[in-house]
Amino acid sequence: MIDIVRQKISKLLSDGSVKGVVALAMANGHVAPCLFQKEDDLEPLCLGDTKKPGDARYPLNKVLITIARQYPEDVFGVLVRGCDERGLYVLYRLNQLEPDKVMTIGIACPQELAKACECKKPYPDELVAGEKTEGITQQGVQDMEDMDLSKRFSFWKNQFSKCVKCYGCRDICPMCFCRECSLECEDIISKGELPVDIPVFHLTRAMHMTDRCIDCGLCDETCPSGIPLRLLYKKTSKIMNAEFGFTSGINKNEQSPLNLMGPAPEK
Amino acid sequence: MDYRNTLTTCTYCGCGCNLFLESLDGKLTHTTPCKTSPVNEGKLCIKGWNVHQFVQSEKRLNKPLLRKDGKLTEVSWDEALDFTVSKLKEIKEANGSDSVGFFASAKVTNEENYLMQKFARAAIGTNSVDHCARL
Amino acid sequence: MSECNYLYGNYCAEKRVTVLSQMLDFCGIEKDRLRARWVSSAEAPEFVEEINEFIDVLKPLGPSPLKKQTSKDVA
Repeated sequence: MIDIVRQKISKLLSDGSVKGVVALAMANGHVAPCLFQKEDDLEPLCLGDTKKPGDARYPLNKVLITIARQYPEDVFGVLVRGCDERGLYVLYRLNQLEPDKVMTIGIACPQELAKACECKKPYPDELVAGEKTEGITQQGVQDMEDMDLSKRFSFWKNQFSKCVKCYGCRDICPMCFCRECSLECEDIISKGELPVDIPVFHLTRAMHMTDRCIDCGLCDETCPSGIPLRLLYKKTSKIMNAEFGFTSGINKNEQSPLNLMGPAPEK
Repeated sequence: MDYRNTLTTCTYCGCGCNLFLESLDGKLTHTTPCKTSPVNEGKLCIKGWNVHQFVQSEKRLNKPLLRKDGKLTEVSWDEALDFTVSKLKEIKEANGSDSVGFFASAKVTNEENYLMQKFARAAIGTNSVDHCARL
Repeated sequence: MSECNYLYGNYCAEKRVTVLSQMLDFCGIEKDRLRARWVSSAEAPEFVEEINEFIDVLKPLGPSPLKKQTSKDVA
């Protein structure tokens, strides 16, 4: 699979259709995001698989935003999985990236990774390498809903009180690009105090994720306290789908119902 | 266009979390935890996440300052070090080794902090060593 | 509904409240603790009525178990 990706990147770079390609590279035994700019420099390219498939994924969209803000005229390529591509669609909608300035190199996730992620669509629309695998039906949210109210309360209270307020979930999130963040607004979140305000801190973030979260799971992976944030955001996506028939990142030209005038559309 | 991710170790505490300092055209833009590091496995604390900020903070001192006639003045490293050495010697001779204390920093490496305490104990001869992150 | 000072602002707010109330429920917090109603600043009696009604709902639920102890309570 990696050879096909390498060929594709090499082609994009050599025919000058992109200025650089944001992907992953293996250096010093570690995987890191990298901007490839020369076609004969692609040796360290890797896809983020070390011990398990996809165990070293990084928010490449976030890297792309950083570079694109500095070089708005140039076209860049980016290595995308299903989730990354959903992220790009959301970033187009939120005017953070321009669709005609981005070229994707899509790879499909293997079944093992899709299962671990409970991913609904473990492949991008524009696929370059890998085999499409079936989406997984999400069971985690349902299991939580089946518990009774007091059980859910003690579960989440327990989870939220583990929070050390590292803000890692926000910092790693490819959908978090705001220069000013509500989580740093002292009227909402008290500064420098632990335990965190339950449930204000986590629900504020969850509310901001309702029409954005693309279910990449990087927040879950980076949380030092092991709070199941992804489960929380999966629930917001489920609500958005049930109430407004909206799933973020599924259509390239989507619009968020939260910003549209008028009542919720008929189900 | 020079985009880089430099693998390094967090300077804030002794855990030694590995992280990438992301830089674009020579300016640090972001910190990303290293997922393949056996130490932190892609996780960081609030200090680690913001480790890129103090490096290019406007408030950071780039040159040594010496108080001359009650005013802090920029001086060369040679002048600053000479002054420090003469004063340290003076104090040590007048009041003994234990009249000098050493205060280490959380923003330098463990190795540098090691050197500092070694200097305190071996060169000056005091055990009065402390650290601003000794919480 | 369409009289909002911020044009379609309350339509957006209503949708967000829908999501938030379900999220509260998901986290094990009674969703009756959250309510949104549209009352104009010129409708004082309606406002009073709304609040009284809300109090009647809140009282049986009791104080939130997540309420922080203020320094006054501790002393």
